Amino acid sequence: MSYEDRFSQLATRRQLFRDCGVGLGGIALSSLLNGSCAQADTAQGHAGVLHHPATAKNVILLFMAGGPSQLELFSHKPKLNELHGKETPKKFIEGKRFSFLGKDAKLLGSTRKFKRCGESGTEISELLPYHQKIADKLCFIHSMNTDVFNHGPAKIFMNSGNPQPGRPSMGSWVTYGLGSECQNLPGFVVLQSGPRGPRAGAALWSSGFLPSKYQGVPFRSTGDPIVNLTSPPDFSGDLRRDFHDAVAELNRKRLQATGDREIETRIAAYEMAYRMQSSAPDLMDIGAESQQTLDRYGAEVGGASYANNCLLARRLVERGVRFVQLYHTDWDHHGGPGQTLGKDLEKCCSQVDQASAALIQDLEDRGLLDETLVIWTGEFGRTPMGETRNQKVGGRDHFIDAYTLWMAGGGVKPGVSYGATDDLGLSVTEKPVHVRDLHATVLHSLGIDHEKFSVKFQGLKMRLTGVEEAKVIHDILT
Amino acid sequence: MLFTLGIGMHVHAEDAASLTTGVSYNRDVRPILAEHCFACHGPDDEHRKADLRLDSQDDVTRAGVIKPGDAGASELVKRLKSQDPDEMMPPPESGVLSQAEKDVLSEWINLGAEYQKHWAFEPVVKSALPRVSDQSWCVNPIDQFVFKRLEDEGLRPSDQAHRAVLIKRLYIDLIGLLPTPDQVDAFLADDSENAYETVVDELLTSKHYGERWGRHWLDQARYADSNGYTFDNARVMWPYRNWVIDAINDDMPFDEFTVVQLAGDLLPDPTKEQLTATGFHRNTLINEEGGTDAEQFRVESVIDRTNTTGTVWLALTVGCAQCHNHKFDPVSQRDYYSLFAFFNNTADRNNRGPEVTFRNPHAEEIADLDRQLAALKIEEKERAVIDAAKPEEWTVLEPVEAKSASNASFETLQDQSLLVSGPNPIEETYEVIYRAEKGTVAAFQIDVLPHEALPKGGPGRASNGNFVMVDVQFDDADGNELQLEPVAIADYSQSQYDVSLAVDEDLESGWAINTNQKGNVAHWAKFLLVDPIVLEKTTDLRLRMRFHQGSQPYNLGRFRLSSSARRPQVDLIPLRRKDLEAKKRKLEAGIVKSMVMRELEKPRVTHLLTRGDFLRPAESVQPAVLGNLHQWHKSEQPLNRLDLARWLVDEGNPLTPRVVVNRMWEKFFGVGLVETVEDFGVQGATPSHPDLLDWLAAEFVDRGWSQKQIHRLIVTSATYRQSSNARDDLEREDPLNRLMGRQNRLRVDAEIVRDLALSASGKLVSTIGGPSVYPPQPAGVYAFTQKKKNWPTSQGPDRFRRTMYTFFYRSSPHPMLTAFDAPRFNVTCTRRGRSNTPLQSLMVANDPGLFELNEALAARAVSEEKDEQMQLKHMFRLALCRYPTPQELEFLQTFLHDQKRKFSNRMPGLEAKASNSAIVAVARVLMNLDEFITRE
Repeated sequence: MSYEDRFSQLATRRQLFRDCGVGLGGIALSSLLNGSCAQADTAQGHAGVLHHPATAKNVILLFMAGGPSQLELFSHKPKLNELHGKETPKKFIEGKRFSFLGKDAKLLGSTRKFKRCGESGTEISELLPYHQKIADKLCFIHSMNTDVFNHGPAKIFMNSGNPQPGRPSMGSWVTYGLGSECQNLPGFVVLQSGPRGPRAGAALWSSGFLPSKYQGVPFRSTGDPIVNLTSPPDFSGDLRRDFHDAVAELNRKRLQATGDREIETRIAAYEMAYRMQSSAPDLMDIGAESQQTLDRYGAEVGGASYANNCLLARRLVERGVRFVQLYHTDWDHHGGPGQTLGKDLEKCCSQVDQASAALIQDLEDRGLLDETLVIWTGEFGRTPMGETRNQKVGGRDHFIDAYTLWMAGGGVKPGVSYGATDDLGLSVTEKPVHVRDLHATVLHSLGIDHEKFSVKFQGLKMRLTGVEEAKVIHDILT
Repeated sequence: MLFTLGIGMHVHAEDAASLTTGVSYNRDVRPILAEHCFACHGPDDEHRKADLRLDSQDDVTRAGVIKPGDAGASELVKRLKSQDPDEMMPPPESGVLSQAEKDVLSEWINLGAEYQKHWAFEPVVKSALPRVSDQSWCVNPIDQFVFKRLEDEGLRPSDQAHRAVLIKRLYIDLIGLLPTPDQVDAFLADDSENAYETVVDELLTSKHYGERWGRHWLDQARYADSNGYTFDNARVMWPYRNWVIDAINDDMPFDEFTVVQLAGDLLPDPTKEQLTATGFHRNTLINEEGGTDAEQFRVESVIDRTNTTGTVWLALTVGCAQCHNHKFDPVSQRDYYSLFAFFNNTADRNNRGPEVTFRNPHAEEIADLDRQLAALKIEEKERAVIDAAKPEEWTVLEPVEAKSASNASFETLQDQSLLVSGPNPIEETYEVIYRAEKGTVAAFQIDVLPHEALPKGGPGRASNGNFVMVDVQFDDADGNELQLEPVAIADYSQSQYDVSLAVDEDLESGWAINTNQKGNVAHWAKFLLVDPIVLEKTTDLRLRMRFHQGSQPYNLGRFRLSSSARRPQVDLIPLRRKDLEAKKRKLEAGIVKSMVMRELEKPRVTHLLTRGDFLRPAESVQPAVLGNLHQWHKSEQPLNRLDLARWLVDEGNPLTPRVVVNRMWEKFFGVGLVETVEDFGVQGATPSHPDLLDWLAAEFVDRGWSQKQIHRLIVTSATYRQSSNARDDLEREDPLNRLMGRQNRLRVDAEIVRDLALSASGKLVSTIGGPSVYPPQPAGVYAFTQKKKNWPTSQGPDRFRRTMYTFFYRSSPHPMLTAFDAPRFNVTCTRRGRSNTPLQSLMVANDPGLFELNEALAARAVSEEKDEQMQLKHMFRLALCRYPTPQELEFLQTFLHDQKRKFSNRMPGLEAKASNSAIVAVARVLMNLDEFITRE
């Protein structure tokens, strides 16, 4: 059966059978994988049985929108400091394309102090004191590289494996493949903090050609968390139940008259909508957390911040939500006003440092870290060369050849640093990891073989990792 | 049949073609080979393994892997059966064939292993109409094909749907709106033979037909109102949308429709409409992010144009060949870049680029200004050198008489200035006679002066001491107006209140001095005569000044006039130019332009791009059509977009007519005859009714590519008119309804969900076309966008326009649209999803914009019917277009009473409000029913 069936009326009917556990779905699901998986069915997903045992059930993607500077945070380069202000080696600049840098850009050393932390001795910058304390729980990849150097396309690439909008986001792939274990909330939730939304907007959590059921649902920190969650004025309270009962009753009558079982799906959708009206506000009510927990994150009841969102992310995976994207914007430190590697970078770091670390610690304390994969990354890194803005060298340009991200939990080895760059951070020298490799690895940890997990669209077998080679980074997995 | 369904699980469960017996290469064998073998043993020579091709009879024969007539002796079958990992095919890591699939291949070989060309690449052949046992059921040829297939499987078609369902179906499918209860009644009562056809013909001539079917086309054109990518700023492209609606309403033949959209700019002397039509391929994205490489995104847009053309006209996934030869279809990478070359010569470059002026309400005035500007240019060249050595000399003039329209008082001060007091109206005119001595007057100067008697010290009489002088005029002794230069000079003008505005024709704009910023101090303005006047003796001259600004008085408080015999030594030309240009800009704001295609004079050289990377150009290629599919002989070289367009709709092109009629079928039945409407290639689905598809395709061309005629043919068929109710036997024998033994119930498109609500509530404003509008949307939509979008919620009629006119930001579409599977229009969409989710339920149940329409429906029912039961019935009929069953009516009555009681308890003493809320509650329930958003 091709994916197209799922779009048709009858396919949704089958989905209903499956969701109801009737079991007809079993015949429908196997061919999604081009491999030879047994024809058994999972609880709700489309990936059939897992290809191999999973080490993670859920994913939290902490997305530092704008591209944080690895050279100020995780990648300590004494040689770069030594050659500060010097010409960049010609062989490096030639043939490279940058957003804003001229060919004459000079090397820019970092003024940040690094410290060896924990038993692993991982070097982490003074800008992230809370990270320094959990270094042994994190796995750093220093050899990340990507394909595109503009924010919008690079973010879309990081999320969907393609620089143009239109493909499903990683979160959509994962919820499509594995389903959601939460009956009262969407399986793929998006949270946002910082002065503005991320560039490229909804393309980052779009379900592309997958059914829209699998698109990320943005949860707002103020007002209704989900658009149109609240009943119209005067129609709240017990009238809410009356409304849903009346709609269901008349829908049942029509079901009887027409025999179209799609109406049953509609009845079920209304019932879940009813439940979401109470489960979503419950989720958002962090007042239910202890003061100790709030303090640990630096979260505030009634506030809207990255810290609040980290706490919400934990509450989401706790409730069985499969994939959480969490955007924090303003990491684009080119050096102009509001974009310096000085106080502006410090501000971003102080906004995310404590809460990111608290999230890891909190997940661990609750026994959730083992099943939750946390990823902290930007869409790219920043250049070892300085960028001149307003006649001052105070920032760095976008850099796609070598940057750093970290992962934790969900079967990722803790206290590991993987991959390396040269002394100036200009290029990867060891174990390069492309964005596609990251995608392959994330799917692998969830029990999915990225090569077998494909959906046919417009004649192509579409995969998150696309057609180019992608490899699972087994070395970082337990 | 159960046997083949068993195969179907792995081949194409949806492929009803496999329901007949026998083995056909196209129907049964190729899908298996395509699925499991062609990736390594197909047309892509770069990735071919063991130098073996299984897609061509010649190669297979040469390689000897198949012995026709003897499966047992064929190497292919041995490999399929082998358990040895080194020998077995497909290799272990690539998956296995089911036993049923292996059986099909064996049987095919035993029967002689005959190959066929892929069905979609064979010429369209209009087959003879099949003979059926019950001709009486058939209305037109479509039905004969459908009946025959059902008959072969031992099935009967369904009865015609109830007439109330039928008329609603027609309205939704053809115009996307609901019939009124009166229209339904009229149809129910019309017992003439052609009652149904009468409704069809009415709807086909409705202007809403162009909206409904235009919207389907706009999906394919990936039309949107913003640029996409990072910033996603608004763009103006709605003239193209207008064009589409008009073309569909005019039933422009599809071949012409194709040619003008792909290459209207290359037609001889293209009309404005033909140029606007080329907006089809200008709907591509533009990346406005800082630091982008325009060439990169230009190439992206050319790739998109190539792929979109392939999908929309040919249903071929040509994009597969962007990086390598197509693995399944006859499109090499070189073919791909030859197609790409057609689109690689346009002048746009990740920007708005060439445009057509769609509307220019001030064209004549702008042309006049252009003439003035041109004259100014000549004047500038020929003007005398300015003699800066001779400064002007000013003489203060003595006022002899002053009056105002409001009878304000004037007092002459020692310095010959006038101080105004008394009445201070909102509109005021001063007239002052000045005595000038014998001599030449070439310029006047008005000094505006502060005085302690004026508010804040003046010089004006506005509360802050400002004034707005909207007009200045000087008359000679005979009362003739002296002509002034159209520009004046002042030591200071407030922003937007330049002194020259006092000498233009506009009495709403004028000179002011912004006392907040500059303080309440003296200023001057100089006005130059076009021709200096010579006074033979002492003469009385008249100054006339007008003042006006908004609803507060802005009159001048103290002023003095001087004259000079010499013009001020300033170069007026730049000032006059600035003035003319400002006027022109103001008029130009009313111009509407739409992006169009325009060919570069010097064509770009197109290269094959290695792995699709624009930084890795390989050998150069010329534009060329896909000759493998359909030959095209044209002597002139090189080919251009016009040739491509004509090739697409050339009579012999096997794909275009099939693809287009199939998409129509998909809209009327929910599933195409070829289910993969976007892929007619080897990997796509095979047609359920190949003969019907070809018959329709041929009919389409025979009828001059008229879309309306084919629509009419389909909706008047008995097949279309069947009931959509489920039937046990069909459910058992044909659960996917590919044989069309009944109609399908289909949830309507996103836009139509709201359009039905507008239509039921009577709120719909049916204006056709024009700029996009901003109906209400829930709060918080822009919390997640990089830039907050401008959404000036429409308050007037635009609030209730059809949803296809709702402004579409690609990065943050109206949430109602995305919830109901509207595409995001980054790429072409030939088929929408039809999901069924809780977010949709929340949307319809709680969206403030839709709730407004619940209220309107209730209000409409109350105003149009008196008694409660009639109101309920009416509301039901307005929303669902049928009468409620007695059980439904009883249920609604009980619900209404229960709600009334509860609202009364909630709002004691407010009986009328409680009663109204209860009826709104009923309207809300009705508009939330599955039936309301379903075409049955």
